[in-house]
Amino acid sequence: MPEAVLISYVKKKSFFHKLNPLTKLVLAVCAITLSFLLKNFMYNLILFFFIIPFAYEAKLLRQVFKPLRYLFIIFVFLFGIQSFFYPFRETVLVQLPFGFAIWLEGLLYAVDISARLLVIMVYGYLFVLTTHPGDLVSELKERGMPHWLGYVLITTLQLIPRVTSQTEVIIEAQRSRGLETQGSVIKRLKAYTPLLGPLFMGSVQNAVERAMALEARAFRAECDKTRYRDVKFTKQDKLITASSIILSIIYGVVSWLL
Amino acid sequence: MTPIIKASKVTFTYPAKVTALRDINLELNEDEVTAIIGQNGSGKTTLVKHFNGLLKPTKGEVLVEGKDTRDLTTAQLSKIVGYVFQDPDDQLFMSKVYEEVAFGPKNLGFKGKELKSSVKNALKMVGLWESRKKHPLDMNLNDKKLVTMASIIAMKPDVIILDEPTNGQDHQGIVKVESLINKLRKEHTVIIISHNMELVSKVADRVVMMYDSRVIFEGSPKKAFTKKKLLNKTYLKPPLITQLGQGVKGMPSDVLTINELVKELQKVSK
Repeated sequence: MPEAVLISYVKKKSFFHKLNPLTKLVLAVCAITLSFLLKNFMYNLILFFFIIPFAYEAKLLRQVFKPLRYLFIIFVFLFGIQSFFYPFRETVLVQLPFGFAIWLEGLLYAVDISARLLVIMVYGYLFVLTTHPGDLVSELKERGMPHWLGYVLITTLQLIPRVTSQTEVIIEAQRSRGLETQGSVIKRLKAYTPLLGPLFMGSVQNAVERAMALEARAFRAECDKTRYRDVKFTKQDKLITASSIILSIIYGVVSWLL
Repeated sequence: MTPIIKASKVTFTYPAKVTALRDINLELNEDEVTAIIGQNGSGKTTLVKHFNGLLKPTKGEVLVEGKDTRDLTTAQLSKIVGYVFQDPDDQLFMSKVYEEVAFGPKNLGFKGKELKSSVKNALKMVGLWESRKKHPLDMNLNDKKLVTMASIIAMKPDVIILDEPTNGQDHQGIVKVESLINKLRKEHTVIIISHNMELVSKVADRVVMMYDSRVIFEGSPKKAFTKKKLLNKTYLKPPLITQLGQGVKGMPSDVLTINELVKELQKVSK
């Protein structure tokens, strides 16, 4: 499921894109925290649909919702297992033969978790899709994150696409030498062993070369570092950050009072 | 003569909607050395990946020995077309040179004597039989590249594709590659992708020039290096000897070797 795993920054011109990475991070964290605190799934569903205006403004409506189809399999298992085996079951919904039954509490629990997952996914996606990793690290460094940690963070973010593309090249090289990568599961498993060598060696070699390149460019010099990407925290950011937090608290409290 | 590889109206678009080949028509003849030249990103590698089925045309068709590549897997096609990748580090993974070279033939079902002799032949051909017990990744770039070539030669394909065989190599490496190509041409159809015009002028029977996903010229190297406009367009320069010939008044513009140049110079000076 490449799309779900490899989701990354999409450049678009929008107000939402221009917001400070921290603002977007606060919004995402607020929504995700809320999803755990809200009273029931209805509130989570409202929160889930609340992303539509943001995603629409960011011109990423399709990209935000499309990867959700990969959740389908998880939902199938979730509903399958919880509605039969939820430990705090009391009410039988449908009686099945051999003593099995679908339980109301289990079903509700599965619905709860599903709604929460939906919220976490879309707000997480929107954050990743609209935030350039460089901007994020730049901003975090501005706020006191150590220089080296920023580097670790950004290389990690770049790691997955790089490893994927390198894996592809290696697979091609092996296929060109008569390795059959299509066919039965065992055949395919066998086919993937020759990949590991070059991939692992390549990563180690890369890391060593990268370290040397960094040293050569004074990575560890002890002085204040300047930044290429300049990120500003504007009035709008202040406003949105504050309202995200305040509205979240209100929404959370309201869900329990009503 | 029937072409061993035939591409008709091949267009290829990558999933990211980048079109890398546009309407390519090409016939490669048996036992010829064809050089594909052009700047980076012009579609050379994409084109040769069609010859062993790593990529299948979006439109049009590629026939290898008369068979449509869409009907065969790369593994099946590797019996006919061997492709040596540009970067040896993507390919090498065994702990011994001998095992590395034996990997391909084993996949094709070579066994016993046949396997041994094909590996030995291949390693002798590239001059690395003595190094058969070394670890491939401990070798220098020249030798690593030769190991990857041997690992394809051992599979005895009819066509051998070398993707930038001299890339990053020193003079000695280039000389070795050149002599290897001259050995290979006796039994194989050879396709090279290269930026090294000296090498192209020395070994190629035919040059295919690519620019912006299209083939803009095909013909003999002699002809290719006189096409100044086309060469300029793709930022290529003829070999120095040819440039020298082109700079002297009264000299033909298609001199490729030092011997030719000397002869022509003698004519001019008379």
